[in-house]
Formats: sequence, structure tokens, C-alpha cells
Amino acid sequence: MNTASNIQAKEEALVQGLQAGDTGVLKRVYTLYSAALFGVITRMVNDDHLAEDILQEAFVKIWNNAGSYDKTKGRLFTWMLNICRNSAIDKLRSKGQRTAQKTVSDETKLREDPKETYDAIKPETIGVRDVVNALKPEWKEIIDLIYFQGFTHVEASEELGLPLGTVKTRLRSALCYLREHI
Amino acid sequence: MNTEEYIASGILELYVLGELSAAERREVENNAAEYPAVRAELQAIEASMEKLAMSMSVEPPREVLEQIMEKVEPKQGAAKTIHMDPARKEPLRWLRTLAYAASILLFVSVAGNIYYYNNYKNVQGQLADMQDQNQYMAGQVEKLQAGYGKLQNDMQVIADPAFTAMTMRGLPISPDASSVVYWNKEEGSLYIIANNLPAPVEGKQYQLWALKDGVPVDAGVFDVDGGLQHMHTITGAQGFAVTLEPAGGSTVPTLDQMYVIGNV
Repeated sequence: MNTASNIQAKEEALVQGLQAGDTGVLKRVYTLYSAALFGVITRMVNDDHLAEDILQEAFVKIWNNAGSYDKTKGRLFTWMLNICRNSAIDKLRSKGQRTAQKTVSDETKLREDPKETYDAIKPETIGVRDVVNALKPEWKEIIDLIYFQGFTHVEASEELGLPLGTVKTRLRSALCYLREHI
Repeated sequence: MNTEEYIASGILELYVLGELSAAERREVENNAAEYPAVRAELQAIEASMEKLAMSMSVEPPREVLEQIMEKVEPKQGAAKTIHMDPARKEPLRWLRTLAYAASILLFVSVAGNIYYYNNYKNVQGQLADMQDQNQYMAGQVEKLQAGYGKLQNDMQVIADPAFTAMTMRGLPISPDASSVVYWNKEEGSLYIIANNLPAPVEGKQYQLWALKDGVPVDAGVFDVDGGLQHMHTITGAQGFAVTLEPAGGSTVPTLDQMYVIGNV
């Protein structure tokens, strides 16, 4: 696949620049990926200011830890996305937001869901919200919990009262569906 | 291992999302290394995760990049901590040596510049001194030339047979004094050279008198250091005398201030 090897070559050059401590390359990485990362962070924390702080923090981490990135274990983007997601999850945990959500009963959760959904709607993300929202409820639920709220699959299985295996296959089904429809 | 079942279990998605424990991660990595199908599926999941993120892009505010750039520094040492394999260390040592050498060269260059700049400053000062000296010498030469020209003129007078040289001797007021007049009796042209007269006090000047039938006639004032000086035209004089008078001269000589006298 020609495009795949192109992407690989491009990523490799970026990684080398980052690892060599070239701030120009950091700017380039930012230009290429900050919007995608910021979109995910915004969607996770629902707070623009906090999202900006997290993005900033994450990029400083990307810069400082570029040496520990190992291309044999995945793509640069995956690595950066997980740094962003982990930073956002840490913030959510320290705010107590996530634990609160986690402990609410199904009943309360049902009542709160529409409001939460409403808050999360942003004109910029409307396209993906459409796709994510258009998912079957059981898929949307699992994507929200694991991808956007940072639940571990164990936590998600407890939260949803489902066996671990089901959580995993559902997550896979949901992501496969998105893979086809984005 | 049944890779299809393995893939379908959803563990690869969790791997990409960073949701697995260290042991589980190692297992996935081993399987990916072993089974191309697992490797391909991982890549596909990663690509789809990137696409998903891209599709929900939100442009962050401009300041965020500025804030990030303020917090990061270009890291010279970064490469050092990354490449731990010995093969990579050698070029780095060379690089460091090169950096040391470059900084030493820079230092030497800066020191050299300072040294040469100071030298340059000195030379500039010396040049200015030389220029001053040169100007002074030129002035001196001009003076000497003028003096020489005058001497030549004086010599012409002295050597001219039409002129008679006449020495005036010192009087009791100044017994050692003497002066010489050169006089063209026919034409009346008259010169004096002070020769040996004491320097006059401030406000006084020597005056030459022609003695004509016992009457002193003003022949003009002169300076002691002026060499041969042209005086008034005098004819029919029997003698000459010099008195010290107020500067500019008098109409009648101050007789008790007569320094030298001589007869034709």
C-alpha cells in the first residue's frame, strides 16, 4: 500500500525530529495533529479551558517523552492520542467527575443522559456526533465509557453489568462499524 | 492459535486504546510479531482510530501552541538518552568533541579579534601622532626655507661691493655690545644686523640713528633677532648710533641709552 508506506515515512521523519529535540518538528506535529487530539479531549472533558490545558500538558509530555516512543509498538498518532486521553482521564478523575458518573444508578443515569448528550454537542464535532450518536445504543454506550470517559474494560463491565468478554466484543463491533462509516 | 478468534475477541482494540496491563500488552506484541494477520488488524485499528479522531477535529485556540513553545526547549542532549545502543554512542562522542573544538575555536577567534582590534586602535593612535609630527616637520621646513631665502638675500647685500660694512662698538653702558650696518653710500640703501645687543626689556626697542653733521637722523627701529634688516634710506651720514627707545621709536635719541656707535 503506497499511502500506508508514505504515512509511515512521514511519521518516521517526525519521530526522528522529535527525538533529536527539534522544536520546528514539534510545531509541525502540532499543525498536523492538534485539531484531532483537541477534538477528542474536548469531547472527553466537555470544558474548553480544561481541554486547552490538557492539550498543552500533553504536548509538553510528547516533547519530553519522545525518546520513549517505540515505533514497533504502534503509530506515533496512537501514542500521542493515548497521552492525551490519559491526561484527560487524570483530570476527570481528579475532578471526581468520572467516579460520580460511575456510581450513579441506572435510573439516574438515564435521566442525566440526555442533558449530558446535549452539553457535549458542539458544532465542530457534529459530523462525528452524528455517526457516534447514530450507533446502536449499546455500542454508543460502550464507546462513551471506554473511549471518551476512560473507563477500563473491567470498570465498564462492572458499570454495565456485562461479562468482560462481551464488553470487549462490543467495543470491537462498535469500532468496526465506525471504521466502515467514517 | 486461531487468529480470527483472537482478533474477534476485541483485545487488539483495547491494546490500541492503551487499556491493557503490561503482561497483556506483551502477549499482544508477541502475537503481532508472530502472526501477520494480527499485525495487519492492529494497523487497521490504529488507522481507524486516527480517522475517528480526525473526523472529530476541533481547531484549538492559537495561544495553545505559543504556550507549548514557551514550555519546550530545543534539547541538544535528547538524542543521548534515546540511543542507548553503543553503536550510536560513538558518533555522539565525536559530535561532543567537535562541539568542544568549535567552542575553543570560537574563544580563540574572539580573543584574536580583541587583540587585533586593540592593535588596530594603537596603530590608529600612532598614525595620528605621525600625522601630527609630519605636519610639524612640514611647518619647520617651511620656516627653514623662509629663513634660508632671507639668508640668501642677506648674503647678496653683504657680498655686494656697493655696500660698506661698518661696525658700531659698545659704549660704557654695554661695553661688549656691537652691531654692523651695511650702507650703500651712493644710493642711501641701509641695512643693520643687531649682532650682539642685549635683548631689550618689554616695551622697548632699539633705534638706529644716522649722524649727519652732528645731528641724529632717525633711520628706523629694528629687532635684535631679525637678522639683516632693511632701514630707512640715508645719505651723507658721517656716523651711526643705536639707542634704546620706547617701542616704535622716538623723534630724538635718548642719549644716556646709547648702546653702540661707529663712524664711517
